[in-house]
Amino acid sequence: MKQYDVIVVGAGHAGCEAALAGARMGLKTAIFTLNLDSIANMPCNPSIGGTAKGHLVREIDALGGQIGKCADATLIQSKMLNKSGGPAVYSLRAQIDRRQYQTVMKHILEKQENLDIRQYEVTDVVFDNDNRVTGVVTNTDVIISAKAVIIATGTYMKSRIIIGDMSYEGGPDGFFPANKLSLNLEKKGIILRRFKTGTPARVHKNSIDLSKMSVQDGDEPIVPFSFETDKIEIDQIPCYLTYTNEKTHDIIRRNLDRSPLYSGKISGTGVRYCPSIEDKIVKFADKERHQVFLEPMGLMTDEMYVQGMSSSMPEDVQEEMYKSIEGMENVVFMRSAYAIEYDCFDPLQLLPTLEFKKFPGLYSAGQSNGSSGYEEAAAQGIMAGINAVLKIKKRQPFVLDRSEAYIGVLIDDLVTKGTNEPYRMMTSRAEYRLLLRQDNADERLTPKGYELGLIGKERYTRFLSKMGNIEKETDRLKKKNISPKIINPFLEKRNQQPVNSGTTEAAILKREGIGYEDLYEIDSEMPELTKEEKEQVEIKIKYEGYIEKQQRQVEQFKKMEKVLLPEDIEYKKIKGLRNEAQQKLDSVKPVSLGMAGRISGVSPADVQVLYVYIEQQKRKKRKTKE
Amino acid sequence: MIRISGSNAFSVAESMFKSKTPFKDIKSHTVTYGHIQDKKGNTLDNVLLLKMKAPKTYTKEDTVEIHCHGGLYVTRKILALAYAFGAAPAQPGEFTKRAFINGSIDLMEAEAVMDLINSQAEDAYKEALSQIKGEKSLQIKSIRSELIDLISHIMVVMEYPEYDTEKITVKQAQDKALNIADRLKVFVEDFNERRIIREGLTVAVIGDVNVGKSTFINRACGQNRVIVTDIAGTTRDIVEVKIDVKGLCVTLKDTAGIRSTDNEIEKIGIEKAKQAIEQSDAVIYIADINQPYKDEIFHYLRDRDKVVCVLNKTDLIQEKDREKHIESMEKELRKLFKDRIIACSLDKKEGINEIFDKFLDMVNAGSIRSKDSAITNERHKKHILDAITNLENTKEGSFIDMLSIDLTAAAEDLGKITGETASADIIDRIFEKFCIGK
Repeated sequence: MKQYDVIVVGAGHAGCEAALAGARMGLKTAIFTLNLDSIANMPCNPSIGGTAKGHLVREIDALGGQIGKCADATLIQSKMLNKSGGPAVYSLRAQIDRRQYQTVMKHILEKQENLDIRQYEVTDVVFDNDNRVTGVVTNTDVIISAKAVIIATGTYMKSRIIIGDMSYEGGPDGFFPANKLSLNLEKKGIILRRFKTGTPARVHKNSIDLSKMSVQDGDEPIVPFSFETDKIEIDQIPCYLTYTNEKTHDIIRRNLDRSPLYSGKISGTGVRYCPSIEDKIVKFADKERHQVFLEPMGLMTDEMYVQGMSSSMPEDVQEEMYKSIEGMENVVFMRSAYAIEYDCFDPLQLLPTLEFKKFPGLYSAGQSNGSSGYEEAAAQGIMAGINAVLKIKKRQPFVLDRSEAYIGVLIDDLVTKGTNEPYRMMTSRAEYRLLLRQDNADERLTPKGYELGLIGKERYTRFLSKMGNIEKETDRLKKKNISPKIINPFLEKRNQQPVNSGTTEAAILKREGIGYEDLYEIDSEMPELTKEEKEQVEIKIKYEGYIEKQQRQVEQFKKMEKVLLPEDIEYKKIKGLRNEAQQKLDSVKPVSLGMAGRISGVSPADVQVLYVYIEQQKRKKRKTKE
Repeated sequence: MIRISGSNAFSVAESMFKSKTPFKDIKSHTVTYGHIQDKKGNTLDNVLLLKMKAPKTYTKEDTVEIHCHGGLYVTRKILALAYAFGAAPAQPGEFTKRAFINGSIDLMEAEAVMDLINSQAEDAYKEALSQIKGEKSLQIKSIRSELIDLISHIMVVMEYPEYDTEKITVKQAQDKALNIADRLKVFVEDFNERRIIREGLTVAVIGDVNVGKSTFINRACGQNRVIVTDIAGTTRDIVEVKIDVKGLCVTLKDTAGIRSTDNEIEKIGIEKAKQAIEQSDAVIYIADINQPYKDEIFHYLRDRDKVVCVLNKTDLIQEKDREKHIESMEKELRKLFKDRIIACSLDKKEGINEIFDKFLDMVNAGSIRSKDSAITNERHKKHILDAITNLENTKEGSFIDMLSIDLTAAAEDLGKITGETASADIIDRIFEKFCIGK
């Protein structure tokens, strides 16, 4: 019988990161997928990043993950979003050559030492008498043993495709579903949820009159996702923007009774984050038009993705409504829009390491945890992979908290609050977002990645030198005094208030409208810095006040995170807790007092009671020792 | 008594306490006489201050106890000042909890501490609810909801920059934030200072015919300085007298007692009395101790907390039965009016001072409140003040995202009063109000 340390089930964005982390940290790892041609597939939009999601990609990269590098290698258009919103919300998004992305990722997996790739459907997981994972069963009835199993099955578990009045068993993009795994896990006591999501049609570029649409170009120069990519020089491919109109909306309204969403055919919980066009028309009836973006699927294809037109209407209605859109009068469909329903796990069953509380060694990452999006999946994948390895190696788990990374916010939300719909990462969810910028992901996480063994020595050395340069220059500017005689002409030229007495260059840089590079004019001692280093110096000085404010908030937050709650607390026996709190705490089993406080139904007073209880237990223990 | 405990207890106390010996030179575990001074330099109260250095204190932290002389009203002002200097209101069971955590309470008592926390939280919750019921709570909710609207507008632009939602500028957001801050300020402006002192206290004098209402008003005018009288006019109308009681302007509204066999006229009288009760801050209910309860008005005294009950004509009780009779009458009414019962003979000029002292006590204790009154619960007040600070911080923000951080903090502050959390509300609102998503 074959034996592995880690088996990853599913080779989507979560599975790939999990498997790579496992193998790169030195354990014998296998990744199984229903179909080798579906590795790292993007069954929905051909893009990576965007608000909050771009942050996740950078964080994964800073930890030593792959998604950012693969995106850099295969992007065909790139944009930095939110440039006017402030540095914490700058977000990188790229259109990706979807097929090329799969090829690159598959080849990375193939080249990876310690990693076996095999086309298998996993139908069951095997446990010992203590519910500890011992391996998996494949559709060919082979049992393969492993110390840890990571489920990363995306939307494939018992999935059903719905197009209007018809539906069939099927996975995304025409692949087969995995019909047995979730049923078998349910029998063992794992709680399942049924979620729903959807995707728009893919249409033939030659059938569209792009001249009637507005061109959406990428930004130059391209900012790469990966901290390791130097620069990307390509001819960028544009996207196109058009709009729905009253005619489109009429068609939809006329056919609402044929929508499975409104006729009750779909039972899964839908996504607010990716509403179908039907949803938009019904919910926002007075909106005259909705945006429709046409995105290229790649360089070697004329397929285009029609963002904004996700639908589960019957095919004839889909075509009719697409054709009512300006520029799409003669549109030719290549793939229909569809809705998909699938099984996933209630993430409240997971520890912050993404391991099942009741099944040691079993992990889950990605859409199988009720999230949505490639980036969210990849983030959970790398974390599950890392933690599976650490557990096997009997090392401390690796958990990022809400003040350290969007990854931390994502996982904490999932395992503490659960979710009633596919969970999307959003900027609003990150309360310390001024510290969690996409530009400083390396500062926050690369030392951790290095410690874990996912970041090589060479990259780490480069990182340290970058940090050194930034710190040195920031200090220099803070100390560098400058007299009114020199600075006032500089300020007046820029319509800025002159100063009365001497000031520092840092104080000047803090002003709105002054950038780091402006300082060359008054300072002959400026060191040679990279673009990224200059950017960091500027942000650190400009937003110092806000950054410090958030750091103080983080200190408060950390106090409660540091008070750990032992696994074996019997909440129902703690008299001072209210009933509701007892039940919620018992089912979530939070790791820390801070996490307990974030569970809905646990009041601040309950948290205080818990605090006293923990102290009581500690002292009891100390006493018995004495 | 106000107790401040924690590592910054001394610095908070030092900022507000003035005495001959500078605070830092006061020896631990000694009592010092001095006064509390607010930020403008006004003396709030003369107090005794007990300074106790850690670890020999209940909580094992630096602790200061301030023993105030003034009533509850002054105590509240001193508390508010302590918050302004950085103290935070104690959570339910907080001192005991700290005492336990810091090891000054025995292990055996831990269970009691835990029970205490939740039972006190329950009490605080009930108290809070009673203080913020109705109108006020709705107003705070609606202001918070407006704030969530503003944040979700900012956030939707940032979450979905490629969508054609209406943009919002830093200036627009700041203006809205400051407008919300201004409206919140109304809630925390102190009622007693703001209104009672400015406009005085309006007291309705209620009672049957011939129970002594006019006597009371005449006596009150006789013993206090009359500011304005409006006694002329028909006895059917309500007569107003403004008098100065120990510096507080009190308007007495005499409701003409009507008693007639003609039901129609009686109804009008009762209607007028009801109105007077509603429009007043407090009520004097005068009854004849020899025949109370007879009048229908009695049933309209719903909000009895603001009523002082005067049992008049004690001189008409036979000398030998007097004490017994008064005692039994008082006992019967105590359920309704607690200690706010005065048995006296207005004819013999008794009771006037006691009656007004009761009102002054009630003002000091905060149990008489203006109808559009401010928030009086100190914890709520602190949250609203924090929200105002956060809203005003938006003035310094140069990017819309920084504003959203201050605004969210303000929404969190208000949420502590209404029991809601901001982040989930913002996301819900985004999808409720804006049409976005691929």
